Amino acid sequence: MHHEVLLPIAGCLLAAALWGVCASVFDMVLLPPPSAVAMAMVEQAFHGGLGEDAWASSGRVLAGVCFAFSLTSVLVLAAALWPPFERIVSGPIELTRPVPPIAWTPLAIMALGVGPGAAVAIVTVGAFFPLWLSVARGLREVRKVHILAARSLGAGHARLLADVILPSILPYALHGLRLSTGFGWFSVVAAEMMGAPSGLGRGIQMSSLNLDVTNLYAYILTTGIAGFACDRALFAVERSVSHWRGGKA
Amino acid sequence: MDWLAIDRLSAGHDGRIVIRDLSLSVPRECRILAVMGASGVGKSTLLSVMAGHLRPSQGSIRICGERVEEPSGSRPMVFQDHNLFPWKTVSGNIQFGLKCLGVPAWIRAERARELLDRMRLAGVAQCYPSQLSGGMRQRVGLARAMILRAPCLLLDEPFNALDTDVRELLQDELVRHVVETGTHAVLVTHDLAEAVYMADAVLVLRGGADFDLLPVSETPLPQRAAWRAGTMMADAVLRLRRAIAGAPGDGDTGHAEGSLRRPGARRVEPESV
Ligand SMILES: Nc1ncnc2c1ncn2[C@@H]1O[C@H](COP(=O)(O)OP(=O)(O)O)[C@@H](O)[C@H]1O
Ligand SMILES: [Mg+2]
Repeated sequence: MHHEVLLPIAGCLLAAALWGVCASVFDMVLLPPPSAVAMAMVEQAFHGGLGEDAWASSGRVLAGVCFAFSLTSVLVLAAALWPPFERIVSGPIELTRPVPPIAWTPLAIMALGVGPGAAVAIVTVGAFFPLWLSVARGLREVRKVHILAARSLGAGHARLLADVILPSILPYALHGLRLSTGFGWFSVVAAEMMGAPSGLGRGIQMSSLNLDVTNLYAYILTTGIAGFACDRALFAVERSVSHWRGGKA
Repeated sequence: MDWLAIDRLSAGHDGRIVIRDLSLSVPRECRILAVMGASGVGKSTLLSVMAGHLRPSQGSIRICGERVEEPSGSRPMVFQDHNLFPWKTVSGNIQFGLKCLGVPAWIRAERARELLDRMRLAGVAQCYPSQLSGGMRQRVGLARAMILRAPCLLLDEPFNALDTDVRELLQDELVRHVVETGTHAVLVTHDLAEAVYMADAVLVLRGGADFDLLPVSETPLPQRAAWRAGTMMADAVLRLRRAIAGAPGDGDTGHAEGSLRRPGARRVEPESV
């Protein structure tokens, strides 16, 4: 238990130390010392736009993931009530899935303008696919014996949906939500770099245009930390909701 | 009036017929019908058709005056491998049937508590199935069906793999349940003593349409509890074994204890003479 927390922290400290050593040995513009980056992060957080940008990006991830979740819920509900529906939608979904979300950015900007809307749309696209894949798999793994047991105890359609199908796919949905939030962070940064009034992606873009490498690192690190925090929070939810699995993953 | 009527039933899996052209009826006085037969002969298949889980390829079944069309809470099934809902607690599993009927939560909880006590499960009411032993899971599976007090229970080897004392406890609880609620039950088993102790008649499947419907005892169900202590049980088991062997009193007991003969071994069919 302790090792699960302490060892990764030790790894981070080690990486930071290695980074510090490299920075002092090579002394390049591309590799500022970690202390300078940390200073920039604090400075930017309090006096610059880093806090606002992180906040803006988080909001877009949240909004995009919520849209993706709603869309998936509707599709899953339909597929649960009418199983062939899953196969039908899997056609168009499998054809669009290989397209990286960033490829939709020009369209999104043309449709929604340079604003938060386009970024949210891209996050929705990025977050939807992993969530749908995971939930659709969960739907296929709903065990027939549980359906039969429920039916022979008198369950109708609604009870079957609420007490058997949804609890069966819940672990898959939560796992999918975690994956899709990760994809959401990829997508939001990429989308903001292509044009947005605020956000971590825009900060990264601006820092690189200004050749402010220290700031660039500060933004990249912040993105990593924000994504990590989201992932841990969802992981905790996932674990607490799947407690009935009794240790089995 | 018959509570179970099977009319020219054929059923199987993936186009392979397991039960062919089976017809029989069981009168009301027979409360518990045991189903026996070699493994793979179609006992579970027959039970699935009774439950409405498997569509017969031909024929029909009426249970308690109702034609079996689809699964129904009026004939809950206890499965060979329990099939508990792993995301529900023991208490939640047991209450499920009542929830389907729309019974208010506090009444459900009350009834579940009662049953948990009877089944010696009170200590694990809030546990999840993954935390239970196999025997406990089986008890939960039984309680989950019993709570409905349905007109007919379908039980697929519900006491398999249980310790003797738990097994006897559950047999007694089931008998008590049947006597108290006036329900009927179909009990798949391969234990002769269990069939003798619990059933009023034994359906011996021998493959296809070949079967025997054997009476077990004149002693009414509630009075059979005394059997456990005495020697009547042994006598009754012996009688049933002879009856299954198909030649009462011919002394043919040379085969393994409790095992039923394979189809075809019993009778001399005309064409094979
Ligand atoms: N789900 C299934 N799919 C295909 N064949 C099955 C299935 N269930 C049972 N069978 C076959 O049907 C026959 C009867 O099985 P079953 O009714 O389970 O026998 P029993 O319960 O008497 O041991 C067996 O030959 C078995 O292999
Ligand atoms: Mg079986």
